[in-house]
Amino acid sequence: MMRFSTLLKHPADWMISGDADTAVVLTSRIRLARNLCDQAFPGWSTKEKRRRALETLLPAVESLPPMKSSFSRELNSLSSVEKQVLVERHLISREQAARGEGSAAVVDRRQNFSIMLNEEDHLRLQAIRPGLDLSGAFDALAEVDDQLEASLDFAYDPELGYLTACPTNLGTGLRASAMLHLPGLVLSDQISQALSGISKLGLAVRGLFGEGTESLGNLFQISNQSTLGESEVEIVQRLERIVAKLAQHESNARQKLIEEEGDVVADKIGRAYGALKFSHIIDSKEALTHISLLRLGVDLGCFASECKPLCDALLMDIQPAHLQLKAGEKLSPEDRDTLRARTIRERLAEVEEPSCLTD
Amino acid sequence: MTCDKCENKATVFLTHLDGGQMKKTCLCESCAAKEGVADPLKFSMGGAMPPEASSQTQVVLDARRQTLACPVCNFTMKHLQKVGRLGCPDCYGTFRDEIHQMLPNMHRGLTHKGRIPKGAADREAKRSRITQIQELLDAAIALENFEDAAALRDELMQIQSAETEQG
Repeated sequence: MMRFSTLLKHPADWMISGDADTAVVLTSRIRLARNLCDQAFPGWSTKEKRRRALETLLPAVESLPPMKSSFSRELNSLSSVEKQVLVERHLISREQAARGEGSAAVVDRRQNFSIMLNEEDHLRLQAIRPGLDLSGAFDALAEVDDQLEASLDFAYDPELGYLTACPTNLGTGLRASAMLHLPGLVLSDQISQALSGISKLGLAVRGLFGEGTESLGNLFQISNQSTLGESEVEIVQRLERIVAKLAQHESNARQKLIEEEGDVVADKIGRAYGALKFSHIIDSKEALTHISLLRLGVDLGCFASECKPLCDALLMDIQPAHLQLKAGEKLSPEDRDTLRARTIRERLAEVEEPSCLTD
Repeated sequence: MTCDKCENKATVFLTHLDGGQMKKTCLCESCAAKEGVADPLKFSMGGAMPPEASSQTQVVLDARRQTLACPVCNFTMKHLQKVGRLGCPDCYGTFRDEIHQMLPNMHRGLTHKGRIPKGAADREAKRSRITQIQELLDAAIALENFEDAAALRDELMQIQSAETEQG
């Protein structure tokens, strides 16, 4: 069985991104909710029954071809830092991290698929792809769904579709979401308008980091809310169209910023570079703000393209649980700020100063 | 309809639970912006995968159905009202009326379109074939076409016996 350290030693496929265009859309994710037809939903089950359901679910999940020699662990065998690291990596949900006995997570080596067992539903299947590729993520996950269905009897109703613990997931049980980096729209003050347009289309918009009202690092998550009444393909294609439009909007905004306010943008990127390269104490909010600008700088040609995967890996690695895992101990917020600054300085050691936008 | 705060035309309609009571608020665009309801960013964020919209889950209760409980898992109407989630797949049969009331606020449609699990598809196909044969059989008997009726009866028995074998 794969160890926790092995799983995290390698960056996830979506962080390396390969040929995918991730300048605006970092990742595409699809999640499917499935339940056994003859068992109570995990939240209304007893410890013993959850365990029994797990005995049915786990062999089916572990024998899936993409999950061969995967990371597979019951949640109560993980430390709180390890669970939090999986949350920060988007491999399990916050809700699942809070669950213990009878709940498990299975993740493939390249972190393309993660399957939560006995979360809110018996199964939550997830596929992640770099860039805008919701259809690709869905096709891959549909194959996993087919394979599972050969050995498991899923709860299904001809009228209501796949039956889920929460009626908000009825029908397809499908949640599609894209993670977008929108510094251009934020800097040009077009973001509220753009996002309120998105929410009028019945889609949900959320910041990626931080609680409450703040969206840190100019990162936004857009997802469907309705799961019933449209087919999977319709939901996925509609979201894909809207996200593509928004990404185009962002690209235009970036272009216009360089043309009209090149020196202001160059100043922001230069200061962000300086702060990341030379600080010794930095909290996550400040770090995310600067990393966002560095990432924008890569797209605008201020930094070599190798700098982008560095930025994307940092988005994960500067978070509290990742830092504590690296340190091998619990850290106070002050100690985390010091380790965060050191981690960033080390990673950016080879990144040369930005070439000027206004030259 | 006019805005609750001023005289403008209301365009934002907010339904929320206040101490177990359902309250409706009508606002115009500018009052909604002041109240922070028009700006999606003001709503709570966070969570790796978008959390389910459980806060929007509103259960309108019919007093006569208050005492209803699922015969399979004993999940009650009270729980449904409290957590907005169900106990087991059979609860969808027990609380069908309540669920139907909730759907229009949650989804773009009321009937499933899309993937069908193969097991369920086979069961569905078998069910509709049985209904079809039954109708043909009735028609054959009415027409005193006993040869066809016998063949249809055999087919029906074959399907039904295959079902019992599978348990």
